[in-house]
Amino acid sequence: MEAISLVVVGHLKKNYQPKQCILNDVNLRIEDAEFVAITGKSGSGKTTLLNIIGGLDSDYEGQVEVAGKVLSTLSDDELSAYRNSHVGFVFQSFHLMPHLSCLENVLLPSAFNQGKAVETAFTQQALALLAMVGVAEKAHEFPNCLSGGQQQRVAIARALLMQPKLLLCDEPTGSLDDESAGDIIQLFAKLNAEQGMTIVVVTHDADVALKATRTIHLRQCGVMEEGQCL
Amino acid sequence: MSIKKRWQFILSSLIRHRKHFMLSSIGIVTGIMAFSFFWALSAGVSQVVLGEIFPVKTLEVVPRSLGVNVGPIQLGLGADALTQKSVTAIQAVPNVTKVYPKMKVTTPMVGVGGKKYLGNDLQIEILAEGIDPGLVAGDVDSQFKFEATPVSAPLQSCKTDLQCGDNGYCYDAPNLSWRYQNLNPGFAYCRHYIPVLASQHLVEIFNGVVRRAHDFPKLNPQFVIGYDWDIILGSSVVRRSEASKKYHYKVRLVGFSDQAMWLGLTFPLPVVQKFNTLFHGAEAAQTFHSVTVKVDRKDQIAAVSQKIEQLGFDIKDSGAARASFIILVTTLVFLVISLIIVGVAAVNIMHVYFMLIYERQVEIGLMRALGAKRSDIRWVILGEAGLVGIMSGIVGVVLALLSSQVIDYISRYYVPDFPYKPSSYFVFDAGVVVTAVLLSVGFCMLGAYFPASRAAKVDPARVLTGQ
Repeated sequence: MEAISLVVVGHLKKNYQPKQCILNDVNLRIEDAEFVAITGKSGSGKTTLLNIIGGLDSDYEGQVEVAGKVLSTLSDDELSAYRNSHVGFVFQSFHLMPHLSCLENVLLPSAFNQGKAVETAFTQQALALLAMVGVAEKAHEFPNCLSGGQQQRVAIARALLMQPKLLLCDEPTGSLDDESAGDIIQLFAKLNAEQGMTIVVVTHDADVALKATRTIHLRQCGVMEEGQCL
Repeated sequence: MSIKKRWQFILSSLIRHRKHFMLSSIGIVTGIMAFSFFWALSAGVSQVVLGEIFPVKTLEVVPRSLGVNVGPIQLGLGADALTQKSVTAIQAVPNVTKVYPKMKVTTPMVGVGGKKYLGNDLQIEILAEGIDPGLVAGDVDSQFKFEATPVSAPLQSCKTDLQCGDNGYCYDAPNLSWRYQNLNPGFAYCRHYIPVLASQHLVEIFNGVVRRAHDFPKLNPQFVIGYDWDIILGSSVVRRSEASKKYHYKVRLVGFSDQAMWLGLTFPLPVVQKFNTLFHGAEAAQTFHSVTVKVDRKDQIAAVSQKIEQLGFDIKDSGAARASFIILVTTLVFLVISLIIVGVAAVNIMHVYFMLIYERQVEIGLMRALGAKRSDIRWVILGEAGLVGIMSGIVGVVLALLSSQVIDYISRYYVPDFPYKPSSYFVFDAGVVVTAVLLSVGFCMLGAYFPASRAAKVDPARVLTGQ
């Protein structure tokens, strides 16, 4: 049975400045429930590719289709709704709001949700996610009381709140020590294996790439080499 | 984003950045304070000037005359009085509601009285005019009537005032009134007091100037209503002006009116007609010295004035128009200054917001990444500005109110009395408060508009991933 492509990128081109090649004619398919690691040197376009798939960057040529949605055809408001309910973001710097508790940080995406879900249902979901990522006891503490690893776990819970189809992670272990980074990688592997979550991780970390089911290596101008990891 | 969530973001942001907002709102508070202070001051001054000194609800029409100066004397050319025909013509002018003729008393008159309140009787020359009672119906104290004095007939003899009821007195004088001069001297009978009205100006001048010269107590205008004194028609402090006949009456103050003569007493018109007929014959009762014209609305006064002048009459300059103009110009100058302060404050708010948005760009970028629309970001920023505007507006009005209280207090206890000195120089009505707060909100949101637009355009990819 042929796998369903969750992400289809066709002939993607992106330049920040004229004559500066970032992504040139990138073609990519990511199937449902894949755990993909995108590696490459700095400036090879990894994060740019992730931003485009996540709908954070809409200034490009070519076609990007995620879960049947052609992103270039969406209005700005539709892109906002797409980011809210179809993708979850995990950043290297966590980007937790320091004035909100961990639980409030996890609940943040629900504030922008257009649906009619009840607030208490989101709260239950957020508490369950905090428990799943292992920081349930920190729910009412503020991020500055948490270690880097714990903060990243809260950020992962936040990314999962709206039950997205796709989890996009930009250097999620880049600010963590080895032990915390290992825990986070285990968490991603668990999410992928147990929940069938499609995960795309941009990383320099070889351990992350080893855990992924597929690795895409970007060279200059988005020339891709693919490798299958065991 | 729901409105509830939006307000949660706004309040959270205001609390977190309260120092910035407090500093940025100082200018707005100052401007709003100045704006509401000067507006209330203008309203207060207008109330005194246009409500008490120059009431502008009516027009005073006088005969057109030309004065020719001959040495120290000015000779009047042209008509000196208005006839019934003139009154009819003025009544026919469009938008004129009613015309009320006025007649001056053309015989000297002396008033005697005041011992009850002042300790000594005053004897002063009295100027007087007659007015249509319909014009001042609302100004007469409820326990009295302002009408031509009815005469008891047949005359009721008496020995004391008590026998003559509340509105009468027992008259027993060597010279009886013009109506009853054929009666035998020494025959005492009941007569009604003649009702008179006075102007508040008279009390102001008495309390502000006259009482100081004579060391009299200050009069409370409401308390002296009902007070009576004697008048002697035909008598004068100028000896050569004294008439050969003199008539004695008692008058009673029944109220104060804007329409009353400034420096004199105002009688019901039929009474003055009788006085003038007594000394100058029946014709004297047929001409008027001026007419008061009531107009539907204040904004029609200019048009009605023009029409009446075209008919060959003059409009007596009450000074109201000039006073009103001076107040308006002064108020406008201060309001413009206040608006400039608020405008500069709005620019300051714009700068503060640009700085805040730069500081908060990661937060804004994260909100965008998590699904916030551009309009959500814009409305959160504008909502913050609106809330700052409401609070600044309220604080500005409260400060203006406190300032006005301080000034009123100083005026009350440290500034000597002067004519028309008000108990408060300010009128803070709902209009001032609502306008001030709306202005504050408007300028704050105006100041935040461009920063909000910039915030809505924050590129989440750039601020979150550095791309």
